[in-house]
Amino acid sequence: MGRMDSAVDGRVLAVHAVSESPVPKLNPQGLKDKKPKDYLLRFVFGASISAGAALIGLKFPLFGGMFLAFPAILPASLTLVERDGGRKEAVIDAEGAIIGALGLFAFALVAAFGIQPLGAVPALVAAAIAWLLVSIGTYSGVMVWRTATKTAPKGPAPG
Amino acid sequence: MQLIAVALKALAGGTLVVAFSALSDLLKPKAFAGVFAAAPSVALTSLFLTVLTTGPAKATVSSRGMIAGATGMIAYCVAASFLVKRFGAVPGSVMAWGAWIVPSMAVYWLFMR
Repeated sequence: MGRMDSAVDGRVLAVHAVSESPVPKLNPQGLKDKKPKDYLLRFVFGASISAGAALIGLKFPLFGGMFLAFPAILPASLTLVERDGGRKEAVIDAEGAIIGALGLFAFALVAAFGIQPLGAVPALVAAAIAWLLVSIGTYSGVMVWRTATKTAPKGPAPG
Repeated sequence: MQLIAVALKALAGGTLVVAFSALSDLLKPKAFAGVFAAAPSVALTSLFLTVLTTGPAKATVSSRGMIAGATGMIAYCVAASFLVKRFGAVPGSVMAWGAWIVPSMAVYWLFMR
């Protein structure tokens, strides 16, 4: 484990070198590959950052709020993905997380400006929908770009 | 009461993280599954419980702070994708924490303090 696929090396985005269909599918094998301790590790990471953000938020709610978007779970996920699928898969997972992080930014904006005027539950539902729409929209855009740049015919040679 | 709220947030946050992780493991391709690695699992439970225990005003302040953290999260993921490629998952994802701290603190310091 450790060396990158030569097709991925040298490209800006590893996802551009993948030939797999971009259409999302269910993969039950992915769950079967995981051990209970993998999920326990993620639970501990998630619970720790939630508790940390809550404790800081008791005295400093604005500063504590920053830790609601702390990347505590991603290192655990990337480590498990690298263990099960190799470094190339971990890099692609991290690139997918960029898209999710753009959605997370949209979530924070909608929650910050929506809780007071809309009420807590409608605003948090709207924020979750904003996360989903931005994430799925950006994923679709990236995959259309990937397909277009892979299949675009080359122009005539100069001269 | 405050410590019970902290414990509830930890329990709910950990549970939702596991739920999103399981969803991510259940999906392919990997680029799409990765989207769920940055799901607002901790934020959703923490903000909801903050509203229940202390009211919407404090949740609004927390979610304003989250804008700074989410800016850092974008930078973290960009940095992690390069650093994991170069150094591997464990060192790469730990080194990328620096890319979260700098923009998060910068946005907090410049726009929110």
